[in-house]
Amino acid sequence: MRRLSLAIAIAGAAVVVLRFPRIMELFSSGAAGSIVAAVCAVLVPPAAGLAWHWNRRPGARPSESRTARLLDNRQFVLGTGVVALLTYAAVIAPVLSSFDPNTQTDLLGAATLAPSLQHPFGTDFYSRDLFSRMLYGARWSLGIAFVAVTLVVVVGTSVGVIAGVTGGIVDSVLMRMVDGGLAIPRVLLLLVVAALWGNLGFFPLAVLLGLTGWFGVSRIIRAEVLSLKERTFLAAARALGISQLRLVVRHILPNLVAPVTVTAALGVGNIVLIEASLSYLGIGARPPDPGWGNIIREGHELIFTAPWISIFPGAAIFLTVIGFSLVGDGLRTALNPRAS
Amino acid sequence: MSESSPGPLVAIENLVKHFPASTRLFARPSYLKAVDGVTLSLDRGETVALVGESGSGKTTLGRCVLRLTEPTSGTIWFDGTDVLALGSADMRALRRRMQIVFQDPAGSLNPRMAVGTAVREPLEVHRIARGKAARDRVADLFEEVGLDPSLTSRFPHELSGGQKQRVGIARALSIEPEFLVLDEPVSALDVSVQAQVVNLLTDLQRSRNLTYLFIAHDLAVVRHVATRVAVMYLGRIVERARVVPLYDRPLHPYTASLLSAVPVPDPTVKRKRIVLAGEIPSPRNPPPGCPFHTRCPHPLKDARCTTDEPALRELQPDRWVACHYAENPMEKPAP
Repeated sequence: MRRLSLAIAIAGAAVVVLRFPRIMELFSSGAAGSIVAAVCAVLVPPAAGLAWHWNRRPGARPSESRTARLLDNRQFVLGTGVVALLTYAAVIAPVLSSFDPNTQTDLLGAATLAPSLQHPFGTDFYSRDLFSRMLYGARWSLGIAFVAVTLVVVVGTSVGVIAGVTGGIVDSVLMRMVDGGLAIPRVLLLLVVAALWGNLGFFPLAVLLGLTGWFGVSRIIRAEVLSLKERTFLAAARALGISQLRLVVRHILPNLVAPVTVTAALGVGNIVLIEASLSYLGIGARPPDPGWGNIIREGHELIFTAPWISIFPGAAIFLTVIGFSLVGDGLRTALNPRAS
Repeated sequence: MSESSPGPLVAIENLVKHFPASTRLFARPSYLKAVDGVTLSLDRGETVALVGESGSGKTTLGRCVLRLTEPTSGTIWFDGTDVLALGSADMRALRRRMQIVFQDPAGSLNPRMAVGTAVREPLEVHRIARGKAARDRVADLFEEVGLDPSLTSRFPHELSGGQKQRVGIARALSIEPEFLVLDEPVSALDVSVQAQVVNLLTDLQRSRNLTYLFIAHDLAVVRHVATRVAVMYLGRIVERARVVPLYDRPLHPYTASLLSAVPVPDPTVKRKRIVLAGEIPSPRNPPPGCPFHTRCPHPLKDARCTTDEPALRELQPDRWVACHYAENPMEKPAP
């Protein structure tokens, strides 16, 4: 983890130095989004450097703690590295890219150019810079995944906790609803929605993905709550006259952090994949706006003449899914005391 | 604390707890009779020990008294109040007066809560103290149970078993109860730590005038702490007496066999041990007649034992036995 912070600090510093004119340009542009990206580009390297420095001190963290176990877990560190890099690139997209993602630079002269210094990932059929499209596509794909996963976690945990704690008829009703939700094929449902409303846009799509993805999570959380309920410390809390609400907030939720973080981490990769499938089917990002899925779609007809168009977004999706899986598995190993 | 009605502080009458245990959907409903008609009372300041094998229903009985498990039927009086008739608000108020210490010190503490917070929480919930006053109170409680107050910021996994059990005791004492259910409080601890915790409990009892229901299977510990003993077998009390007469001359063959299993710290002593055959029968399907007849080593055991259930009779003052042949007890296996 220490080396990871150092790597981010160095890479970030390099970005700041190499793209300094661009950062200044963004600062003076006055557009809020550009300024945020520029500020992040400037602030992240020193922050990563500080994290590296702080972790270097002897005794910075107790060697037996869960955090230490987490940071000793290579899977987790590698996964976090990949995820952090992709997220960082998405956030500072305007700093890294020299071209507007939707501008057709030269339809006749610059279409389907192979990767070069000027266009690191080449250009597509409409002569758009693929590197820029990839960066802005990351904003779309990862952004949707983060929003949807937040929703999945909030709704799934709430339903799971309510069902598990209340039990009885409430539990039965909620869980039958979950069964119903799980019985409907998700992609089919999304296709129906797309057929009815067309391209949804960022937030509606994220909400839709979130609201169709929490069923499994609520089941996991409910099971976890049921096993917690058998633990003696909850009996002790009841004997002490602690109210139901406080019992949930102070005693149950803190003990759900591990399963919730694991499901969240694994959920991001899943949603990136589903969103990409939807975009590939033409119902995700609205053209000409880039999303990783529809970049692949745009490239699939040229797969033999300009394979880079589909390969780069495919690799990005692959890296994201692998990255989040590693984070999730690492978390699961480190947070589960029985596994060590 | 309030000095109110005379008579016992806690009186359990005919308490029954049956857990539904049918496994098949359309099968005749069957029940696991964990506690099957127990009557027991505790006077203020005394320690009543509840002993018996695993599965005899001692823990269920202890939990029923605090309504951590809802009894099937019976009555529990606490200082003249019918505990089982209370609504949830009244019950929460009553919980200030009765507490429990659990067998498993690790499991009884929230792994995600600092131990100081765990002891402070009941103070805040019952509006006894908050802020600085509450923290001072926690420090005092830690000292009272023999813990360094600097440990308050630690988490359960950073403490030893004995320390965790002391935290459990401090938490139970935080709201100044009059009555404590001690559910095998030392069974999970090392022998050397057991003695310390037992001594702590007896000291606390003296200084705070506590009443204990002490659940145990270690009869050596019981002899040290209890004033009276109730022996449970298959959810029923088979013998109830003061400590000294019970240990000197057990009247029920089950008590006799339990006592014969207590180790004597003298290797030269030759003892006759009563070794019971087999396991305790399933409380889902208890034997007819005397519940103990399947394993009873009593020489007078006969057909009557397999058909008539012996009632709990008062043979001598404060001496109750449920055995047809209590007048002719088995010889205590003398050293």
